[in-house]
Amino acid sequence: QTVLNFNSQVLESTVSGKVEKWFAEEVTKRTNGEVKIKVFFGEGLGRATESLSLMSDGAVDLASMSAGFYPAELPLTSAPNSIPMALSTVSQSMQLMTRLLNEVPAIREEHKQNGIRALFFHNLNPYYLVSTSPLTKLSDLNGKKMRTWGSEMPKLAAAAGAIPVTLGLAELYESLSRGGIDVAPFSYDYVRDYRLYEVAPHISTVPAFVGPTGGVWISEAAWSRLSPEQQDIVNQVAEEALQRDYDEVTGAADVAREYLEQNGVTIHEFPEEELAKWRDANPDFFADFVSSMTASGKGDAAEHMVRIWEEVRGSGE
Amino acid sequence: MIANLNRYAATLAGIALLLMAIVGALDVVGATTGRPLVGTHEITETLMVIAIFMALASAQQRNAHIRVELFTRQLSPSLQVALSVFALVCSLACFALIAYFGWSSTLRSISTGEFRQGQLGFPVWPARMALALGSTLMVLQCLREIFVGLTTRSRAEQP
Amino acid sequence: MDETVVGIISVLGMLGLLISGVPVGVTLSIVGVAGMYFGLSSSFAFGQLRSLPFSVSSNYAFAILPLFVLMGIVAERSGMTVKLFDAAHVWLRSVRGGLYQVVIAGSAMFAAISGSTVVNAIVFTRMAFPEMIRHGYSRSLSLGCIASAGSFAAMIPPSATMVIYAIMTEQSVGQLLLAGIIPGILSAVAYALGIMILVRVAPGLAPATLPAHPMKDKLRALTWVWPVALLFVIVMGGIYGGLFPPSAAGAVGATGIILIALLFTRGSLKGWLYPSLQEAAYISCTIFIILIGGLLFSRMLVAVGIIPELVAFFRSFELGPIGFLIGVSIFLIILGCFLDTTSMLVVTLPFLFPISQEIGVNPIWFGIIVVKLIEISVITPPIGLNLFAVQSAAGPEASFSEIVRGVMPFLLIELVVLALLIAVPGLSLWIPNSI
Ligand code: NA
Ligand code: NA
Repeated sequence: QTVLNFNSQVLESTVSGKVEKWFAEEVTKRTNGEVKIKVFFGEGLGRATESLSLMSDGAVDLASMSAGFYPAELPLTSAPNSIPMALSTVSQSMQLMTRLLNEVPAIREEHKQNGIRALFFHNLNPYYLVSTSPLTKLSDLNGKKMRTWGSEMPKLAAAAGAIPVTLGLAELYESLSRGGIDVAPFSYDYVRDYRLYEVAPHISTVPAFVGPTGGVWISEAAWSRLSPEQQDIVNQVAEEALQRDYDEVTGAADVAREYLEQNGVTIHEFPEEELAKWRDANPDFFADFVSSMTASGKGDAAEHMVRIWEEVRGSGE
Repeated sequence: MIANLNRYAATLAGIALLLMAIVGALDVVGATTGRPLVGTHEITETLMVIAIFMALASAQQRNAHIRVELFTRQLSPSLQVALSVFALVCSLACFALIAYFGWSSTLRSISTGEFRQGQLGFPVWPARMALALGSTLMVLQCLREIFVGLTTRSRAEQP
Repeated sequence: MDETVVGIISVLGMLGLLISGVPVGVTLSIVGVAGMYFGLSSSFAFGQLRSLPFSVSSNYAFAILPLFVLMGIVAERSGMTVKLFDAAHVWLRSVRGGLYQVVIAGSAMFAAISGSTVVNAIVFTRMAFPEMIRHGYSRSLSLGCIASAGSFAAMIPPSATMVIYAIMTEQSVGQLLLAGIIPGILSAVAYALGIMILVRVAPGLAPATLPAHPMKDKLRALTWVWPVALLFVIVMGGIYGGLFPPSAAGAVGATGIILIALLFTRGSLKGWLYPSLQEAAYISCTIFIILIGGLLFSRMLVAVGIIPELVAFFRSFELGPIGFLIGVSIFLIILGCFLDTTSMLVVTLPFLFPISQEIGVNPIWFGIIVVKLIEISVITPPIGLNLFAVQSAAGPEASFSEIVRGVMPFLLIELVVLALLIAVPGLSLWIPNSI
């Protein structure tokens, strides 16, 4: 029997957590108990920012972690985690990640260099703007303090005249309640799970961020311990887990939206023309991505990625 | 010489701490006036590693590391020396491992060009090196104290 | 190796090394890594050794710790706290044990700024302990009082512990924070009453009372308080006025006190700034080494899989609501002797919370009980973070056994408060239910 340790960055109670649990149990079931995956939720074996190092050292075998934590090690893979307003639906984001993995060899190469292999990427509902006061036009954001992360989101905030504030998730609730921040990009289900609606009763449908969240990864060392049949099973379960994740995640958004509306949240449709104004004010995130990748010799791959991005965005789903 | 190195390192730790305070405060002042400092988190995290690990050996020299002295006090002097040498060997082993992996991570970090997720894209190797360097100084300090402990012991055993 | 065997050997090994005088952080690291090595694999042990020390020492969430430590030390070194406690003494010298009450009330107020029990313990050790000794208070009880009152930081918001609980169990953060108000005040009042009784039973614990000062002197003494009061207003006002998040309060507090100290010393940097920086670095360093060791040890226990087994054992008793809460209390008090608080929460809640819901325990009430148990865990030996924090901040004069002795009366008080919280759910639920 092969026992694999899985360090998860999410809690067991979350949608992603439930899918990971299903994935682990299903692999055991279909390999007739030959492969057992022990999931440690809530960063039980290490913070998500440690997971890559833990996997390359063989300390953990699988991990769920966001590629966004590793801009140097996974520059191409982490781009969809950081570029704002790049897509508009969850389905597009799932398509994008699948196509990038299959069609851009440099991405798989990048994983291989780090001794890891991507199994599937969790889906994430669109991050709209949850706020303490209504936001119905671009000028409403002027001077507002907005929670951001990474290198690109602050530019999105600045383009709208908002003040970017870096803030940990644990401080989100209390900061919104005291006016430490006024706006945070977040999804319907997270607004419910983190109880933000108690202190920020407005959501504007600005697709501030649409993309993947953490992925589920396996180290090459652990992968090579599996027989070819077992590897096929893992791949198969991963593929099903992705679809399952999609259904659960998008389903959760509908349920959460209804819940939020019943609990006093007003959802504001952000006008198309105001959104267009915002997009015009943004820097060209894709061009910046390509030029920074060109500097490290990955320009061709980056351009290829951007083409796929545009096709997916044009697909309209 | 080791004592001097430790003192310089500890001074550096103190300066890092002061800078952490100033950077954080400037960010708050900036945010209230609409211009938050870029990269506060990244800078603070780097400074914090320096503040902690550069003070390590000097803290050892001042016998500041926390121990639970419940029984050792009632023992005979020579047994006390033996136990303190044992404790030093444990510390040495622990920090030798941390230093070893620290240096190896520093080299890895330099070769991959590791940087932090954030607005500055701040390199990580300086912080990793501070950890490795601080632990190495700690190892040297432990060696020095073991040497002193063993020589006092052999002197105590002479008639 | 079997999980139970690894668990037992680890705990015994840890006690053995601690008794031999091996530093706490080193003990926990060595046992943690050895447990990983023999219980799991060498690559697990070495991988953790590579990543964990760096991860802990570069975690922004911990940055408040060294900064608040610096704040406390500057307040002391620049002479502000001498004035502060002189003023307290002018007001309270006719009250037996008055400075204990100052520490209890002060720590409860500081808890409204700080979310870390360790920070509270260090700040008050630096500010209050030397003054308590100067005025003839019991060393041991002073240290114990400071360590124990430091635990208020977890129950009184801001409280990371509560936010983690609320998110893990899908409860309202706001309701939980509200629910903590009465238990937080109750604990402080219980401490104050406990001290009143204690100094009556054992008068040697506090200096003899002196006749009260005339009001004129008392009012004049108030003017000595301004530097610390000003700082408190800045930090408190900043957090509750939404100018900055609690995680930035450390930097604001440290910079603020340095500026105030400059006013206080009329612009002279001599004799306080450099020594304060040095000392804050030493204290932070020693605490972080313990945090690193504690996490290596906790992660080992988690990875080896001891905790699910313990929970299964616990579950086999099939208890009713009150029995369940008493059982959880005993379970977490024992676990809390060895585990770091966040690990304890993250590892046990996924098991304990569903049971509590099957039995029908109100989730907010359960949260308050759990937070209270977390508070208790930081002052229980052998691994109690607040005990080490006080020891580190007090310097070589304070011994571990002295602190543990001083904490004992407060542990007893904590158990009484815990029993009250279990017996009277209304203490936790009245405010959230009536809003
Ligand atoms: Na608090
Ligand atoms: Na404890």
